[in-house]
Amino acid sequence: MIFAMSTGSESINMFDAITGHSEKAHAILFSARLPRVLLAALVGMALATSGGAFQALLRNPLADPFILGVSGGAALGSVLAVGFRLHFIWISLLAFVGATIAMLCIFWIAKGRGRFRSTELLLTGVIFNAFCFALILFINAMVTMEEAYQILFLLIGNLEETGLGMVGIVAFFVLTGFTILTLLARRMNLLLLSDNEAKSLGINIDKLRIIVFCSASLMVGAAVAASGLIGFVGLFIPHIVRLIFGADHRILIPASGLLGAAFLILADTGARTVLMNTQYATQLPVGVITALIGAPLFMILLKRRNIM
Amino acid sequence: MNKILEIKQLSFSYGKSIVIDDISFDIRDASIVGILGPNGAGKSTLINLLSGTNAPDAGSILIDGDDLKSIPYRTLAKRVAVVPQMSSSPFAFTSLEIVLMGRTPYISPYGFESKDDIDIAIDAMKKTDCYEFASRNIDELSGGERQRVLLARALAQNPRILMLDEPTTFLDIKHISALKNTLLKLNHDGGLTIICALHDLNIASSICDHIILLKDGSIEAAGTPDEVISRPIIERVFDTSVHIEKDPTTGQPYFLI
Ligand SMILES: Nc1ncnc2c1ncn2[C@@H]1O[C@H](COP(=O)(O)OP(=O)(O)O)[C@@H](O)[C@H]1O
Ligand SMILES: [Mg+2]
Repeated sequence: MIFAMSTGSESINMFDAITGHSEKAHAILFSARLPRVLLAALVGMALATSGGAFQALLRNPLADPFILGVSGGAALGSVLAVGFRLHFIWISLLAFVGATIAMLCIFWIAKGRGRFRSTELLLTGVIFNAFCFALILFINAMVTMEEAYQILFLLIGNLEETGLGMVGIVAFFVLTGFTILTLLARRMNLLLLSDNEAKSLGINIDKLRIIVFCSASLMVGAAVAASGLIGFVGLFIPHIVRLIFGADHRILIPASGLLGAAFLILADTGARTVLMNTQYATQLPVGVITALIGAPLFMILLKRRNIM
Repeated sequence: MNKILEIKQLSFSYGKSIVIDDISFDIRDASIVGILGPNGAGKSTLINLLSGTNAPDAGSILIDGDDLKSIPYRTLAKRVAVVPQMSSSPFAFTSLEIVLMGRTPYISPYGFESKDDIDIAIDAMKKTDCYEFASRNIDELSGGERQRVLLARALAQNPRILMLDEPTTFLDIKHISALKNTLLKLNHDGGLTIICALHDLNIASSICDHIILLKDGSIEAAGTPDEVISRPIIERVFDTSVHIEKDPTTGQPYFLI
């Protein structure tokens, strides 16, 4: 973490920055680097934990935090904010509102069929997502080039433009969700059995699903609001943890959270530094890095071991 | 004799098709009851209703005089354990982890298993002859091995009533015989009430005190194996001709196709 904070397009000396010897270093550390690294950690934690939770909830190893439509709602919210040329604070705010509305809609539709089951949930989520992205493309077609570029940036996922206030709000949702899911971890193991088995082992499976769904969705909502759609973290981090430690959620959930946080800090450090000394002299969106590392890694895992 | 289960005018349907049609019967404490009938008769559905995993459309089920509907899942899981016909999970747990799940109703919601829980799980695995796979992943086991793990999980629940759905499907003759002995021993030593959906009449006749013969969701015949396994009844229910003999040593009826 310290390494991540001291590296960037402008490298700073930690000691100078903390003690205030160098005013510039101090400013960079506290107003840019610290919030960014903290946010990377929180978003990484949110995505990896909720990814693991959704994989259990849907009994599907290919589930990721964005599969259930919550991300579509959040993305739509932030794109609307861009489309209406609102202040950039609104981007996050509307994203979170979008995520919450999406969550309630999906919940309501899936629940409409009586029981809250994996297949209903998966179908509803996937269709809801497709609908949101159709709307996003619709908006995209109506905005200026520059705004369209901003939308692209949102959809790839990046960790720029952060203040400590934002970090605080995200931290609240992510840490709450993380705590709830960690506490539910033992019972989440039973989500992987059939509904009948879980019930006959004394679990109120409908209630458990609802709590897991809501906690994970709020984490995703906060993460997407803060940083757009950063892909792959939520898909492959839980699988890596599973390969190392097994399927028990008591380890899977907390370990995914920590590994996700660490991974995204590193990926973001990479995003900030890879192109800094080249002719482009720019920062990459972190979503590019996670996808570039995550997709091949995931394919190697799939090939090497049958995780399905 | 005490009734541990009283089933009154139970009905259940999937959409429009009625699967359990107004049936009533009692189950005595510490008895072994076989639920028999052809494929699609409603055996699995009846097990789901009796174990509380599906709610009936009409009628009631009393366990020790308590209405099943009013018993919370957790409490129920300490009284009734089920060995399902199949179990699959997208991510593999080890056999020991699966058996430890049987301790769920005894562990506080946020707690971890205690040493006692682990001892009980290991003990259950030894009883069903599957301790040797304790650390193997459940999806690497054969159907019969997996079934023994699921039976161990049910025993780890320390239930009063054990329900099994066609437990012999994947077993070879050695393990069918071992299962019969395990069930008889649990029933005899522990006073466990056992309800077993079966399609094999010979197994039913060799372990059951009481047989309920289902067809199209109704009870066609009920009684001791002697009373139920008779040629006219079986031919009517299974719609095929059979040949029934008496075992010369035990006197139990057995049949040949
Ligand atoms: N989930 C379901 N939805 C609709 N019909 C079902 C379902 N499960 C079972 N059935 C029907 O209910 C009847 C009884 O099934 P079941 O209880 O599984 O029979 P058995 O276990 O005796 O073979 C069958 O006709 C079957 O097709
Ligand atoms: Mg069946």
